[in-house]
Amino acid sequence: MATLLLEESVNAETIWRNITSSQQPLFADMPIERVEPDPNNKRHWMAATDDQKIMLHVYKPDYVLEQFEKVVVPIFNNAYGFNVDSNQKKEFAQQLVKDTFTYLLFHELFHPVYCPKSQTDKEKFDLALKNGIKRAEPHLSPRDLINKTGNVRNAIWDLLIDTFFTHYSTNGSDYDQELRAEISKLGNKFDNNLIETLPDGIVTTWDIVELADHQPETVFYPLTRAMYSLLHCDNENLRSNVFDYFRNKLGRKISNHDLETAIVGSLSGSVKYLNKHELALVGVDKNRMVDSSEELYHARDNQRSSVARKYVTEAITKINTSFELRYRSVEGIIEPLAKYISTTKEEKRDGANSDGNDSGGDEQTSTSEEGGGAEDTLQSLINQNDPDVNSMLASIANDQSAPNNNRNKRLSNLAKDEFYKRNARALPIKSPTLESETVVVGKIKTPVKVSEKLLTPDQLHDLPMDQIIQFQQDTGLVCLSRLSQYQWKYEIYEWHEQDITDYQHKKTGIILPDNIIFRVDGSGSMTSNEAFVGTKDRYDCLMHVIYGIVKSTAEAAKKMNKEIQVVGVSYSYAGRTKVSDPVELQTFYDTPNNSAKQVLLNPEMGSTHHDLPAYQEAHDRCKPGKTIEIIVTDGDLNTDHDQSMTEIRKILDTENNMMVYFSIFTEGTFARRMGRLAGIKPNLTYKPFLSFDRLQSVANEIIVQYKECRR
Amino acid sequence: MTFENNKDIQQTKALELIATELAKDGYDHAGIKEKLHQAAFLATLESASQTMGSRVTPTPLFRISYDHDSSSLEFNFLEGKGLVPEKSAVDLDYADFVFASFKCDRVALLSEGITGTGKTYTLEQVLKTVYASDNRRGIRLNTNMSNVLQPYIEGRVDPNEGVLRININKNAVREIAALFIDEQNRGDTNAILGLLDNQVVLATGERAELGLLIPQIDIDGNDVKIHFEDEKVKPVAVHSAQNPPNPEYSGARRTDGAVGNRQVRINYPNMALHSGAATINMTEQFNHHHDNFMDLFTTKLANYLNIDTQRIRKLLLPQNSNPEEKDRANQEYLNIHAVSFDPANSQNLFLRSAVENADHIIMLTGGNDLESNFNDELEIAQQWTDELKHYGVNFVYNTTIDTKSQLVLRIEKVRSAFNEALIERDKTKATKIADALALITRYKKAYEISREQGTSPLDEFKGLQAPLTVRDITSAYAIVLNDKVQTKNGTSPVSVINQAFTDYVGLLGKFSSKVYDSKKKFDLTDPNQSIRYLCSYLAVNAVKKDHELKADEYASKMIEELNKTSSLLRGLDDGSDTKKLLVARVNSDIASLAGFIHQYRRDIAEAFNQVGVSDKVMPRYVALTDVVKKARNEVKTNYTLPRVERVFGI
Repeated sequence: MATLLLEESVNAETIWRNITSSQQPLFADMPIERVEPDPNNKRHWMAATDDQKIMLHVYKPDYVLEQFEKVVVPIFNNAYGFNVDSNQKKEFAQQLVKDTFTYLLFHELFHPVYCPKSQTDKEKFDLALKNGIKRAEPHLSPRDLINKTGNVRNAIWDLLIDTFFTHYSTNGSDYDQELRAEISKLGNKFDNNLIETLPDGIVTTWDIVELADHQPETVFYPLTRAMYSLLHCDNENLRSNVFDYFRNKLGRKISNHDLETAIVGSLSGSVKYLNKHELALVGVDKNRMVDSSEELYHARDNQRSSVARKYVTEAITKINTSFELRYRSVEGIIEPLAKYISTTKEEKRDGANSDGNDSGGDEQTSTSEEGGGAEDTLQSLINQNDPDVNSMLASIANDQSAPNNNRNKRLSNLAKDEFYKRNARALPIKSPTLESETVVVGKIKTPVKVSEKLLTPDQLHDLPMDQIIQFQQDTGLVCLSRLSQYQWKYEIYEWHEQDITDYQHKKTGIILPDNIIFRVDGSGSMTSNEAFVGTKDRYDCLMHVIYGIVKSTAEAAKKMNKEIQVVGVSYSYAGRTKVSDPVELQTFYDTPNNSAKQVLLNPEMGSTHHDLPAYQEAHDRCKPGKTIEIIVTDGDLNTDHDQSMTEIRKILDTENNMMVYFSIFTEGTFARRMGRLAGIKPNLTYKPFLSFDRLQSVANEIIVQYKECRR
Repeated sequence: MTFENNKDIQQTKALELIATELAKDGYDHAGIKEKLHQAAFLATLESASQTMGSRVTPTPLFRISYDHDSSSLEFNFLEGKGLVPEKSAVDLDYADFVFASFKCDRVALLSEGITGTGKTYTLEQVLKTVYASDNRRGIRLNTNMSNVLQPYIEGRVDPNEGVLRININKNAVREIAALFIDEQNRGDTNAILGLLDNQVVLATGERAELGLLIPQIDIDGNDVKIHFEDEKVKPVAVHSAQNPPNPEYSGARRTDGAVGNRQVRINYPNMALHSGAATINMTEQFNHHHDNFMDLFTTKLANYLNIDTQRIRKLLLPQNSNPEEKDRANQEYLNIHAVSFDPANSQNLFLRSAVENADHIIMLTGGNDLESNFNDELEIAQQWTDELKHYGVNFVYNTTIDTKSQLVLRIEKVRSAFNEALIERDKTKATKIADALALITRYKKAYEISREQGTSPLDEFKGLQAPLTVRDITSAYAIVLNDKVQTKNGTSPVSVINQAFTDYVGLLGKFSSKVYDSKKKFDLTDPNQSIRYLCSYLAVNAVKKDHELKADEYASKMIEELNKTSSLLRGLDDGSDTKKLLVARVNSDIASLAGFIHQYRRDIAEAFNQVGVSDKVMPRYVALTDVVKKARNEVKTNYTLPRVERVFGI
């Protein structure tokens, strides 16, 4: 049996692909991914893109069709410009579903084409949203500001591209003409009325179905859907009906006055931070835009507001397809909506999302990304060198307020990571030795004789004479010679390429081992809570040491194209020593939430219990080759010193191992033993720093060597 | 080398007869040449098709579709699949390209495909049909035999000095009309470079142009004289075939870049499935291809020219089996063939829109990267703005392109798949291919209409003569750029070319609609549709009624108008990165025109004042064009002049 709604989906793809071939040829080969129905899925459908393919998943086609019949059909009865007989409800619902699919495919196409069309666009967009929200809510904590920005980005991308779609698919534009041609070609009719184009307001059908049988969990989603009714429904009755549908879903969560302030403010906000001159360059009149926004809202049930609607959609399109204007426009759009954005839930189209781990609704990027939009947003601000970031990092890193969920932890880790990347001074680990190495200084081609032939004079005609003459001239080698009156010798040469080599001696400079093991003291004496970032306390100092070493090593490894593995070990309570998975150094440095950073950035704050198996376990996770151990700790161990010393000796006695021991703030008994051991073991370096300031002023580089070298 | 005393080539009685008869019918010199080349071309096509019909299965390669209603253009690689005909589409097969290559200037085909697919066979069948054995050569290369000049050289060992002497064989140089190199990449592909440039050069410095001499027709009343000129040569058609350079074919190497960019690589499809059992009864047992062909050709030619068939046949067919008689008749044929397949007959001008669209394709596929291409254009506009500040103009295009946008990344992906950057020779190659495509499209349409309406193919063919369009040049670039793709990592240059077309048609439509204040649709064949043309037209329009203005006054008015059009244009990019490239390029060309008007204002004023006042724009537009043409031939001081020439399509 054919899968329900599959034909509609395939028909929609045909329309979409034909139009995309001529309107956006470089995207016309994007595959459409479909799935088998799955009644157990949390979602009934899902549309998304990763910029390479479009996912159009319908998990519960029967439910979707039912909701269209029940809820959408009554509202859209007249949307094609003629009235559809009530006994054709099912066919009509199927037609609407197909047209919704068509719209969804264009929606997903418009993401990579228009918004966000690049990583830079995404970052600038985040910055604009943050600025708009901050202006509206200046007292938000940095973490909430980032969370709100991250939660709303997808919704505002959608708002823009949906407006573009409405503008481009109507008013006789290229998309409009092609939609008419493609849809008419299918010849679908109701009574004698041919379906010639997409129905009025098609952009809103998805959202109507989304809220068909449940109440929205946030205000922002239905509020912006009410805005959608104004932007995307041309007919005043349809506009009014769709508006009321979403207004009713909002209930008492918002007053009419606040709703008006938010919607009119947001629509007219698109020109708020743009001057008349620059608006004129794209053909938009600032005053008319403000007036049209007002009129559209207040006269939404009146036919005269259709002109205002067209003007508003056209203006938003013209402004926001111009990258010189887009970001300031977004600041104005988001400002009146800011207070309705959730700090904990992503404002996606289903309006019922959870912690960033849910997959569902419509999205531009993968929804399963842990940390979701907030983490991306903070990264955007970092990449864009937003001046606010410096002051925000410590606050976000140290923010321990509820909810202490996974995404806030990840956000905190990113802030910690960036803080130390910015503030830790590079601390290179260097070798004192000179080594010689072979270098290739160039290539040379030489002729090599590969065979020879004896020929009679009549066979000479088959030879490439011009090449032979050229070769003889170039090399001075005679390859065709007359042996006798009846015999010639033809020697065949080939050009072979060889290296020209030389030797050079140099200090190897920064040591690039194969593995780095960071062993850190995550005990309560190092820090009493997780808010250590920027405090100059012991754990803060420890992080400066680690980032200082990583910074210089990662840079050198990148230049030398060397792969180094990092393992993090954090000691705390007995039996709770954490040993990370090995992480490649560049990944370790670049990403804030890898396994090693999770271990190092989040101390347990217990005792200083050195679980002995952890010494070897870290080494077991390393790859063969040279390994540097970096140990950073204060005070003494809560466990037997001798046993730990035995383990450390074992490590130091193993070839290709070396160790640097940082004793910070206090020099305990164990630390002093390590200091004495350093006098015996050339591959151990002991570095005591009694204060943070001392570390900052003295530590410029560390000279160390492996076991096989003599000091 | 001179050939005037060569008796063989002076067999021109058939040509004289035709020219005389046509002259009697009232044709002038140009008319005779046109009629002859059209008639002989169609007669060749029809006779060759009839001769080969039972021997060769067609190999469809490309489909070019253009829908006038939606202004949408499509170029598809058919890979041997025969599709149901579409009204808006033309399908081109392998033999079409071979025929076109005889008529167009150096369209050298390199057929690449797995062994046994018939690539060698098909080409040989065409060559055997159209040319007698003395006029075609085939050589097969291998690791020990890579001397492709063999057909053109004479080698002998000097018995006195024991030294090998190599010379050019002067007869071969002038009698070989087509050369086929099989297994090209098993020998030294570099060796055929000279042949592709239509010359043979020996290491001794001896050289010669290759090909048939083209008889030159002189007419004085009804008196017809034929003479030959050494430099008027119909280039030899050099075609090659090879297996793909895969490990599967040991010894098959990648084609050298310098050779590759002179050839049109055809991925020869495996037709086994598509032709199915249709080839079962095909046989090669009937030889005498050329004899059969000549039998048909003479009749068809006579019919098209309305000349007594017997008189033509008597001159073009051997009257006995004597070898000298055969040579005589063949030489008569070759002279007619050389005249009617003279590449000069197939070289057409491009419509302005074709030039503009080609320019945008070059912008998207040439240069180091899109960003630097874009910045170069911005810089020109900025510099002209500074230079012309006393006119109060602003040509500055104040925007950037997003080099990491999905659109740009997709284009860069295609560009990175090219084995080398777009070079000048690629553009020349595209122009030649466009000529070939236009020719093929034209005769296909002529036969289609003639079949449909019962009219003469010759009349239809004549009626369809037109300048080259966006469709021709775009399809040509699709073929050229497809050749440049070294690794097909899911990329197709066709999508970039389509993007260029979409950008161009979109911008032209929007700009024209704004200028005319009404919706304007792109028309493929409209000679006046062009953004740059419209801008320059408006500039002249601004002064068409001004009488005896001073040079500065004319310049000021025209530059002000250009400033307005530039401003209008710069607001039409829709935020699209590729459209911005197009806008930037046109904008800096307009700015360059403004600069030219300033620099040549005295010449322009003089020319305008001579033309006088008119309601029409064209008289002064032509006068301005003449000033540009004149500047082109002066000592250069302004190197943005090519931009101005681009505006005028010259």
